[in-house]
Amino acid sequence: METRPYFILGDLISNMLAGAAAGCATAALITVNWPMPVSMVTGMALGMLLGMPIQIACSLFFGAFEVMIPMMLTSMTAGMAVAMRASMHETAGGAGAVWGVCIGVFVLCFTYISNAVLSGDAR
Amino acid sequence: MSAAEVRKKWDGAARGFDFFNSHGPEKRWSPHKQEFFASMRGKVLFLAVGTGLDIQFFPNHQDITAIDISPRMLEKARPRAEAYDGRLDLHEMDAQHLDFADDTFDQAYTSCTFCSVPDPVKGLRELRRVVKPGGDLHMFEHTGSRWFPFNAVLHMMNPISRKVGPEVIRDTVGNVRKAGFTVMRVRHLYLDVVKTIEAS
Repeated sequence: METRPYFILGDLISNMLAGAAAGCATAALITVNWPMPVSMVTGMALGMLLGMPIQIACSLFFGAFEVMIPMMLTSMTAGMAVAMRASMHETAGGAGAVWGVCIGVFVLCFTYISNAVLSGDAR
Repeated sequence: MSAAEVRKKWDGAARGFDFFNSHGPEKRWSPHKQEFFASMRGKVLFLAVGTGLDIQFFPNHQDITAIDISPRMLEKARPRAEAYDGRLDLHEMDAQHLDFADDTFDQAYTSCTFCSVPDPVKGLRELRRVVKPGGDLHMFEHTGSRWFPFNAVLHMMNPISRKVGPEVIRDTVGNVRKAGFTVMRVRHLYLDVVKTIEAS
């Protein structure tokens, strides 16, 4: 389990950034007249694409897999979730970004808990 | 992928390799790597040395032979090898065709190597050939994950990753067994993706 504040903070900032970018861009693109399944797939793909350069930039400072795996999950989940919401209700870019940040924090917590369970000697 | 193609890929990656890896990834893994390399003893084979970022973690006064397929990577590794307090020889060599006699080394070490060797089982069989009976293999590797959603993420990353660098979905522990080694210990360092493997 990571205990160094520099990396914990780095993970948090990276995921919040990835979530905000995916959420904001998706909310700006998807409108209420989009069919929900199409919007969700589009949001996920958009989140993934937007997330890649941010992942590369953040990995320079905070690590490789420890940064890329949660950020990829955050980007995709935030894109998909914000797209679903935007296809049902008018969602501004700022609101999409806030949703994305919340999803980023949730995904990071999920990854930290998974890491605590999976790391150590293989069973 | 042929050896020439692998050499070309890593020669191409050599220029930016330290920029992308020397700060974040190496600093993140440094406590694990320090511990991992601490058990070096006897005549040691290290593959693949790359630009030599791992040399900082080698304990002093060891007898190490390090190889890499890329001459550009080795060029960058040379100053680090010269600064090492011990014996450290660099050779340009393909992990799948090791130019060493049978039973030459007491130990073999790898660090993020078998994500990139085109035929990993062949490379591991070569390692088994050059390590003395009773000698051991220590690997610091990243592999695929068995768990959703991490396995899905790695499968999505792999088509891009393999073009510019390593594969991220390999079953390296399985490959070690296929090559005839007995796996003694697998320790997961991050999820079940980044791990150390001890085999003999």
